[in-house]
Amino acid sequence: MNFADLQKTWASPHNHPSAAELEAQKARFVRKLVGQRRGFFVFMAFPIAAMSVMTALVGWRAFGPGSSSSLEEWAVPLLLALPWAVIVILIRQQLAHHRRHADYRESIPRSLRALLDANRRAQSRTTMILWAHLASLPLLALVIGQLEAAGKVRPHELRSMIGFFGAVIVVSVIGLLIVRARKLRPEQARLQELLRDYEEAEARSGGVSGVSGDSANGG
Amino acid sequence: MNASAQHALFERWLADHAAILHHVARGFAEGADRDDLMQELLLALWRAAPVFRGDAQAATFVYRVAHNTALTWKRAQTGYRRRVDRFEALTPPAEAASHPAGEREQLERIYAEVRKLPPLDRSLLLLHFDGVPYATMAEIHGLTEGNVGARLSRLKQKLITTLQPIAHELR
Repeated sequence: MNFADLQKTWASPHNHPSAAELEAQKARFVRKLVGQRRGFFVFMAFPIAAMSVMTALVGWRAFGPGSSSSLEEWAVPLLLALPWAVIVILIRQQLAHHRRHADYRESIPRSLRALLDANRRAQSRTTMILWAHLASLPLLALVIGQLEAAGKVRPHELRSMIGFFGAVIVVSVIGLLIVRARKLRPEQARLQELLRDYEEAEARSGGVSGVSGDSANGG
Repeated sequence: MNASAQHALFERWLADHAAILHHVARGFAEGADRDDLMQELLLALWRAAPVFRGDAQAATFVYRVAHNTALTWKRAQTGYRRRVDRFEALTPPAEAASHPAGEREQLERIYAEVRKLPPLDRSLLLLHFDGVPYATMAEIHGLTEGNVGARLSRLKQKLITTLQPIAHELR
């Protein structure tokens, strides 16, 4: 047996997708494409709606007719600003992701470097969100303190609020740490290993390849 | 590029180069994952269509997008997926009766051996099987032609050595 025998097998009709198989893949792809487009907006719709309602309520209480809030409750809008900032970051991240993946003009190692860079940025974003959670703790304490001082919260409500918000923050932090450890870190290791293979090939060929250059003309 | 032009280009690529995607999906994934990878390849092609410049060969572009996607694709590891794989392994393919067993099995063996290789070698061998010139492979992977040639000589020899006993069994 030689390689020509293998190539003959490779060129056989069994190594081509049937028309029915291709049609089924296309139909599934169209469903996936529609679902993906909706998915992110559905995913973002709930927190945006919830935050909009909360912001409107706080705004109404602060500036609406017969408003009862005062400047002494300044921590409330500050606490609301934090999740809004996270929402803005997520939307920008999603738009950047689409732009990044639409561009295949670069060679594969350059794309790998771009993906690795995106992974590192995703990890640093996780760190930023973790810090935001930590920052929300003193703010939350301030808000509760201010509401209590204004006589707007009763002791049993105070306990419920501390328990609820505390649990939300703890669950979020655990979720972020799991995403980082189970998804982002292994992905980083996999991409680094793949890139190392290219870099070793480049080193073996005396560094004259287009691995770090712009050899691909992109189609 | 507007949506209808993107759609037309995508349809043309599929009509002309479906085999490329099929080979990449089989070379990088098996079982239920193969369908998932095929979907990722279609999605990547769809997204890449707007940046395609007609001055280069469509096949080269499709190869680049497909191999790039496959190299960075990560298999979903769920219990459900493993159960589907086990079930499929126990179920004979429906088309089995209509194809000669030797050739089909040999093809399956080739893919199985290709999937055992490191990702870069896997990609190079798949491109070579498709008859892609060294210069194009070098361009796609950002390597030198010499490097591509050296790697492929080693890979081909390794593949023949591994498949030799199986080829005798199938004859």
